[in-house]
Amino acid sequence: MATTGSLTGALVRLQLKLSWRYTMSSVAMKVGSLIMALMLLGSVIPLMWGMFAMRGTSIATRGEVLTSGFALLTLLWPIMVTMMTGSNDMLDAGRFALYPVRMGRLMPGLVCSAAMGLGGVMMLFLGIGYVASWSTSPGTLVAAVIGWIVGFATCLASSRALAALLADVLRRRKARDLTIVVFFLVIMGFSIGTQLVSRSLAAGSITTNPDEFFAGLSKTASIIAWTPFGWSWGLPWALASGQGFKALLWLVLAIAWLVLMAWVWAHQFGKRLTSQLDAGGEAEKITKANPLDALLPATPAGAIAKRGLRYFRRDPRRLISVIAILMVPFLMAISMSMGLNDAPPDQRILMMQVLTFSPALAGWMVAIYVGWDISYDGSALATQIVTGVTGRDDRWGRVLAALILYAPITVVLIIGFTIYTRQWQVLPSVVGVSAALTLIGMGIGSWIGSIWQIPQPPAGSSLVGRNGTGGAAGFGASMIGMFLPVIMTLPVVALAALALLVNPLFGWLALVAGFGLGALVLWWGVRSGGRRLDRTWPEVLAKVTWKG
Amino acid sequence: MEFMTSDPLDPSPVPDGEPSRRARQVDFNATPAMLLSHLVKTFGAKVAVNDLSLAVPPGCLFGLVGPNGAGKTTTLSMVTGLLRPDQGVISVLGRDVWADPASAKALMGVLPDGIRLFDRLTGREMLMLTAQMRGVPAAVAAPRADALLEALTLTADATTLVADYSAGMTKKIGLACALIHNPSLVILDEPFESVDPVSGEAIRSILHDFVDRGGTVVMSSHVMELVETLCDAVAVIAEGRILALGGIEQVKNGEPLQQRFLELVGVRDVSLGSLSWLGQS
Repeated sequence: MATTGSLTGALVRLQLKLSWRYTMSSVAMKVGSLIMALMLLGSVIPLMWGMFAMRGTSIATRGEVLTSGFALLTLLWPIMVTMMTGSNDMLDAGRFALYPVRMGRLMPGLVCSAAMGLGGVMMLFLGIGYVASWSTSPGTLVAAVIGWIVGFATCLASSRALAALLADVLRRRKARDLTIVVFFLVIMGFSIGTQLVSRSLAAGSITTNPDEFFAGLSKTASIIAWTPFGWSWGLPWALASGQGFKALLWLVLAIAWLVLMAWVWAHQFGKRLTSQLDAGGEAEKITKANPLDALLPATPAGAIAKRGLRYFRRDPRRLISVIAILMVPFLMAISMSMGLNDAPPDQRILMMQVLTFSPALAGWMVAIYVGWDISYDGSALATQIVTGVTGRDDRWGRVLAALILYAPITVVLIIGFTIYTRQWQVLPSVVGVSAALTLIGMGIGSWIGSIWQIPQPPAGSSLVGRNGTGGAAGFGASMIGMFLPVIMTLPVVALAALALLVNPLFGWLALVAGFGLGALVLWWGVRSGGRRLDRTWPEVLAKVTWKG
Repeated sequence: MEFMTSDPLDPSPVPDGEPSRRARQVDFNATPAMLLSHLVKTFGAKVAVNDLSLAVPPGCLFGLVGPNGAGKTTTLSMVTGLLRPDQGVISVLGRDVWADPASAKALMGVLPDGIRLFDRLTGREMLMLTAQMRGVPAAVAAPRADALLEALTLTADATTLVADYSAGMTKKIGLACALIHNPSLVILDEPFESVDPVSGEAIRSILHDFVDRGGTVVMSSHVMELVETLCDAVAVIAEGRILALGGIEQVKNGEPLQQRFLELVGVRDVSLGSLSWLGQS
């Protein structure tokens, strides 16, 4: 029988070996990991240096900055870890269910393995900085070491507790799908939020005065220190401020919180060790007919379009792309309208007119999506190939599905944006440019999608990351797919510019040219992409099959 | 009982101790339903299919048997247009699969193994959309879909996403998709894997009826008992080559198929000496 110690060692070695193998699995992974490690080092080293430098600052400044900073890290830690590992969790209790080990013997090893990895290394360096910052007196030094140990342990325990709680939920496909979409929305929210905040800072609508800033921080920090994420990190602050009772209370609360997190993890883990399999609840029934089916012809292309429409909603990867595409015009509009207030009046009208063109961007994104759609099929594409569907029907079916979903949305967006900007005179140009970008993009996408495919992990296999990358070929293809439609739309854009600057009548020319040119390129793309597919179905199937 | 009814016109008495169904007489001189000539496929240094030639007569249930890695799936993938052969010619009912894929594929119904399905569709949607891709009018496809779902005991799950199906149910819906357009030749890769005995019996009777009405079935399997009781003719392959080919009785040569198979493949004598600790307390 192995002892607890050797079991711990075995688990840590296993974790390191798997991480190493995963990191070294491909050139893209090696490069990606190197970049990530450099970025982490690049952020950690200045932070460490900053914390060393903070030794000379007042107790209040150190307390406020360090407590709120580390509390935020403690809050984000479990979320980040869960997103990175997803359902591919090596430390998942289910993996140990078949072995004759009790939980008590597994836990030390699992804690150690959880501390391995980039996050653990980062926390070690940051912890050194934190302790150094408080090393101005023996009392605060000891308090900082205790605070760091308890805080780090809380990070580990809470990330395991969250993963264990989610694991129960994530065994159901429906919940897994939903989680992927929600996580994506959270990330989008974060990135839009930071953009808004930084722009507001630049525009002066949020204070940049250091005194006001620190006053605000001081208020926030004193609240944060009283949350479960701040208790342990506030220890040296309370002690240095001469509040021994507060420090003791925080220590007790921090340890209690750690014990609670560890208990939740252990409890869930123990439950999963003995009840691994379940049916995952009642499967959902879909009885309603899709009303959009009536719009589609009873041809092979129509069948592929019907499937595509269903997949937009039922495949989380495609649902995410739908949401992302719909957000693009709004992101563009938000960043443009922020600059509006400062602009002189004559420029404002021009900017409003340009803003009216934002919906065309959605069309551009849709087109890029059409190009990659076949990659998301994975090996299921085989069931389509054996039916003998022609490449042309395949291309046309995918274009139809995207058109039926996005064309009405684009129309609504165009009308909405024009109502907002009240620039009705540019409407013909907007419609023309949008049509050109969408249709040309779909044509180019249909053609490129027949040449290059990149295997994608199947729907619901992991929350983030592990996306297929096609190396140099994939990069080249996505560049062509992105920019060739823009270049080919330039004549229509030129007409739209003439309408803005010379005579609005050019707008009507842009409208006609947009649809005409777009239809021509779409027809060409579907035809040549289809022919290529007919010649290369087996090779395409091999390329879209995910070997993960 | 199923075996008796599936071949009611056969007047010959069933000998004792034999499987209760007599294999159909197979005419290897008839124009083949599936013809492979000098097929070669290599993956790097590994030769998966090695100069394989095979003619499957029409109107029979043909079994392709072999150990793991023998080249069964590779061969069937080349027949169904999913994998391009390095050399050789494949024709299906007179149509060259790689020169004229459209007309060859129209005659075939295919159940591939080891691939994902478009599993975010419900069982019924998958059947109806397969029919539409095959050019079967909806008015014809709808009653066929209902009948297939009923025969394969999937009616209650027709509106459930295939992603939520069990492995056996997924196999069955794949089989239904292979039959919905009423093909002349059905290619099935491991059709009985993870299928429960009741559904297995249903699949057997569906396949027998199909062959009795003139269709041809080519199926792969590594379960010898199954092939022995189900198939009329068989090819034993190993390392990408054919070791034996013929009517089932002819290949068996008076022995159980399992025994004959082990002889043909050349079974390694498993000495259990080093495993003597197993089961000792």
